[in-house]
Amino acid sequence: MSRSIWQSVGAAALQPSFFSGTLEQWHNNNLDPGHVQTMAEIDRISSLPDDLLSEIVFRLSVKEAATTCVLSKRWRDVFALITRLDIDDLRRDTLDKHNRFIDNALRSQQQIGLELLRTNWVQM
Amino acid sequence: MASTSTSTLSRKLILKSSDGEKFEVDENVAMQSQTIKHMIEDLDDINSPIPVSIVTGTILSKVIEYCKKHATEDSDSDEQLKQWDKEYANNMDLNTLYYLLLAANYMEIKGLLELITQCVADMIKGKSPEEIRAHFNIKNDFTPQEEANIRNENPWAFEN
Repeated sequence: MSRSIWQSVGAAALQPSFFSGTLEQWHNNNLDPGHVQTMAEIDRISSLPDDLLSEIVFRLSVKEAATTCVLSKRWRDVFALITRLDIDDLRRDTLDKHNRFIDNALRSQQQIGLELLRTNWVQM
Repeated sequence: MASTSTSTLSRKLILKSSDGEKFEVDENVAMQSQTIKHMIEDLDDINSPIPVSIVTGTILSKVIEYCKKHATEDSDSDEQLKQWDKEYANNMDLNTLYYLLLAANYMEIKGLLELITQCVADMIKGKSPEEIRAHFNIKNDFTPQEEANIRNENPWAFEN
């Protein structure tokens, strides 16, 4: 088995779209745990590829996910990429409040790029 | 070498990390990775080390620990496995979680990918933006006005 096959697979699987250098440079910058900076100084999570960061945000409720767009420009852009969100942890006291939450989420659809909202809020 | 398996039925494979560390694993353990599974199908000589060329030995050993646990389906109940997963993820620092996430993505190990993304999502849940930034060392690169605008656009997201 040659190395090149791994590398060709790896290049597509790993290299984030916003990184324009070679895969090797990406490794040197990001895949060496002994790299210069320590975790106390470095923000690794924001440097995850778009699809992985989206996957994390996708696991949040709409409200929590929307909160992340104020963290930094990077997170705002990732949130804009997300096209599907689940409202799965609504624990609103009243139906009115629940409806207001949905209304607000839908109203902000154009601003934040939501294409589909699914609710499994069933307690009436 | 980091193999402790006693199975005599499964073929052994050798995985080689980016920093040259070699791990002998049962084939069914390695097959938890879709990427390796596809490679094995094309492999002429299974005795030659398979280079996992972008994952370090430190991280690969943790990936293998996960794969070993999940390769033996019958030994634990679902509940026990979930508990094991939780403890596995909770024992990792942020740095390790980051590399594990990249490795799981590259090696196409769906369960591990889901476990780590959920673990990171759980760290975000219930925190204010300020607390999230502090937890992950995220630098706020918005001007105060830009940040205020975002909050005003989506006030429902920031109300308690």
